[in-house]
Order: sequence, then structure tokens, then C-alpha cells
Amino acid sequence: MNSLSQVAMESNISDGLFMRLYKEVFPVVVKYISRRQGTLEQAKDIFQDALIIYYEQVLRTEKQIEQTEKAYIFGIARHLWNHQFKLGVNCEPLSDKIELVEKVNDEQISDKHLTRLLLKAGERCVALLKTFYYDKLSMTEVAERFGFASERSATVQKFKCLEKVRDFIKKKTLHYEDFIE
Amino acid sequence: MRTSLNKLKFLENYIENQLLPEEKLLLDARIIIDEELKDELYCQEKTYQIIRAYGRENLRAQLTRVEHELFVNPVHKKFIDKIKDFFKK
Repeated sequence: MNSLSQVAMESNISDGLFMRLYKEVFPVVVKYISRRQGTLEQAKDIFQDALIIYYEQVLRTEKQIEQTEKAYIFGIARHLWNHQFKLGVNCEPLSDKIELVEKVNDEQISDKHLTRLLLKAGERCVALLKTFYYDKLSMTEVAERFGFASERSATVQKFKCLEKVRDFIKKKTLHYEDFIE
Repeated sequence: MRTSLNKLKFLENYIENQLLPEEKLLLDARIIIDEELKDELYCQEKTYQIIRAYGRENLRAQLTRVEHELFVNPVHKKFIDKIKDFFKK
């Protein structure tokens, strides 16, 4: 089994696959944005957001898409660019930029406070919750990855972890300004 | 599972629209009259939001690592030169 820190950080996808996507798709995105007076930094940001959307919509759910991978990612990037820059909606967080993406939150929860809050539940718990609720692995895969004897024991542990985090949030909600910026 | 965990599971099914219509109706009504239950539901929804935000930030960190590797490792110099060429006037 992987070390805990590896498990906590890993998405479902390897660095190698993302590197391949950078090599194959980033140039067309750069070409599009550079021709519209965009900068390299803007192209990098747009491409990163496009890959996050691609991961959330396609890779983690293994959804079948009709277009090629390249056309699909480019389509997202073009939409993001047009929405964000052409229409003059600058520098908003990913969640506000595009309807395709699930809205994360009404408030911007600070990363620092968020991580601190989550890690109170323990690194293993956080990794388990992230793997199930964000990376969308099945409970069978979660059980295998985290070394549980059965899907049922992994499920029980998942709810114990959820309860821990929920209880921290319950306490914090009384002083919500403590963990928002 | 102990009672509190079963309650979490039940509320999760509610949030994910997986309850039977009659169960949902009953819970909708309870939420209106039971402040404590309403708070629990709010905190559970908030928990999912925070976990998903954490997952997204982890993914962003992974992508930043890959992008950094691409731009600093000399192995990819030819590719990066091609990228920079797009911005030459």
C-alpha cells in the first residue's frame, strides 16, 4: 500500500497522463489565447482550470465523450477564455467562472484554515474522504486502496471520518468567521 | 453501524436525492420543525463542500507540479521554446 502522504495527495490520475495532456493540448490553447492578445500566464491559468474541469467531468467518472480528448479540453479552455477575458470577467475563482463546474462555496474558504480544519480529523481520514467524495472511487476501490478487509468496514470508517469532520465544522460554525477570509 | 452513523448515511442519501419520495417528504417536514436537525444537515452539506474544495486544491497542486516540471526541466526545452514563440511579436 502507498504511504499515507502519497495517498492523501494522489488524484486518480498520474503525473504522466497530465504531462501528456500538456504536451498534446496546451499548444493549441496557447495558440488560441496568444492570437487574442492573451499572455502566457493567462494561458497557463486557463489550461489548468480546463484540466480540473476535464478531470471532474470526464476522467474521474470515466464518462464517454463524443469528441476527441484534445477537442474536448480545447473546447473547455476556449469557453473559459471567452467567458473570463473576452467578456471582461477577470480573475474569478474557478467555481464562479463556469456553470459546468459545481459551485464550491458561497464564501472563499481559506486554504490554510481549510486544511487545518480537515487535518484535525487525521490525514488518513481526510485522504479517505477525498478519495470517495472528490475522486469518486467506488467503496470497493477505497477499501482496496486503504487496506480494509471489506467494503462494509471501509464504509463504516468513511462515516466515522465524515462525523469527525462534521463535528469540527459544527463547532466552527458557531464562529464561522474563524475559517473564512 | 451505530445510530449516529446511520443518521449521517440517511442525511447523505437525502442530500444526494436517493431517498424514497415518502422518506424525503417526511424528512422535509422534520427539517422545518427541528432546528437541531436543520443545523446538522447544514453542517453535513458544508462538510462535503470543504472536502471537494480540498480535493480540487490537491489536484491544482498536482497540475502546478507537472507544469513546473515542464517549464524547468531541460528535457522539454524544445517544446517550451515552441510555446514561447506564440507570444513573439
